[in-house]
Amino acid sequence: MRTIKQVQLWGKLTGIASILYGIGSSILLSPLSFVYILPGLISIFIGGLLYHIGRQARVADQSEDDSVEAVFPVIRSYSTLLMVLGIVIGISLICFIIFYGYIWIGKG
Amino acid sequence: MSKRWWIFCSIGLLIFISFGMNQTGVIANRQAEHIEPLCESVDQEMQSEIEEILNIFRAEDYGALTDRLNELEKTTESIGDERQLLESAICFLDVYGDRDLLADVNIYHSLLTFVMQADKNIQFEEIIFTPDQFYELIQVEGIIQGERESVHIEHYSAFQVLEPYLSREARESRERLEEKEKNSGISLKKMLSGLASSAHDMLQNPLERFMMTVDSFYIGKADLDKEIFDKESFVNASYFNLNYSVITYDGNRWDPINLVEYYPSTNTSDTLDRIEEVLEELPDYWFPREKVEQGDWNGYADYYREHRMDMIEYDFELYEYMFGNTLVDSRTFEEMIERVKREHQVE
Repeated sequence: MRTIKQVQLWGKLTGIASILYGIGSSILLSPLSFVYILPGLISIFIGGLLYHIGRQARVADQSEDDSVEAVFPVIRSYSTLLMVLGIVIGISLICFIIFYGYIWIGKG
Repeated sequence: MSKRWWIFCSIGLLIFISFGMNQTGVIANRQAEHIEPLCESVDQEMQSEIEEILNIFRAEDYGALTDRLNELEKTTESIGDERQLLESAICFLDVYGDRDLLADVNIYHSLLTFVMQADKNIQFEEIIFTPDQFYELIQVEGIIQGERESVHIEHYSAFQVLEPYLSREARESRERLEEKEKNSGISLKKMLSGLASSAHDMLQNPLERFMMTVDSFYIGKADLDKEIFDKESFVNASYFNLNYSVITYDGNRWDPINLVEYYPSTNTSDTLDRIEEVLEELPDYWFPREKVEQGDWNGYADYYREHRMDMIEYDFELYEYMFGNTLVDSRTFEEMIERVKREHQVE
């Protein structure tokens, strides 16, 4: 139960931090170009997922059901977060490859 | 004996003064011959317009300059007319006596070059002139309404641009050193900044990291391009004895506007005299007469940059004489010309 309390606390805290960072980043970088809002929005979305994990952990903690099934919603939210992170990492990796390839071709 | 001595001295003094006055006249005529190509086309109306502009600079009324620039119709034709007015201002100024006024006129000309290049209806909030101690390097900031970035102009106006250029470099290096010394200790600000930076790294998502990498790559490239442009402009002006303005505008951070405008300096007139002297003996020698007659100093600099190595290969001493006013091996100009003619079998 101590573990689920930690997920509850840190899920919410890191979620809020990520949301605030995303908002700040979008506001500060938007004058440069509208494209710069995109990473901020992703940070807000990731923050939202983290916060949701924290909330699901709270529900599981308060639940009277002592079976493993009670923590399934937490695991489901966590799997969604991992999937979103995986997609973002994949897109970034493809972008890096295209960018360095473009520079390499440009040099050639 | 004493009376005769006084009469002799007085006559001597009169001759000396009149000789000096004639010398001034010679300088003015010499300038008119080379670097005042547009003066014949200046009519009364243009003259009064030029006087109006010159009065703004005489009064150092940069607010009036801003208003004039803002009221100007932003079409190629009207900007071109205003530029032609400024190019004709040299007809009413002495390159030696009115050096500062001429620098101001050239800066306004550079601002118009930028407005023409920027290709939009630019309105200025304020134009700030910051000259150095000797008015050899004038830094100008044109604050544009509704834009984050300002246009910057560095105008070098000196007999030799080397001195203000190197002074600026030294001053900037000194400022960087002072900044480094100031930030060398451990301070609360530095610690907080480090903490924020670590938090930023941790919270940054990979897509943001990618965008920052691309951004810093293109900004770094633009900075290096600007540095190269700045140095090349200086080298050209320095080689061919010209004054110049470097105009920069970071409106597009990845592809900023970098422009250069060359202008005749007090040294250009002397250089052109030496070139004419050489052309009398070697009529086929490199000289962009058309560019000089049109007052196209950018064209003049481009022409000599293109043919610099040809001239050096043809004869280094001749090149040095024209642009550096020094004789390397020969004792006189005649001796050098004779040698060049002999070596290249010129009649």
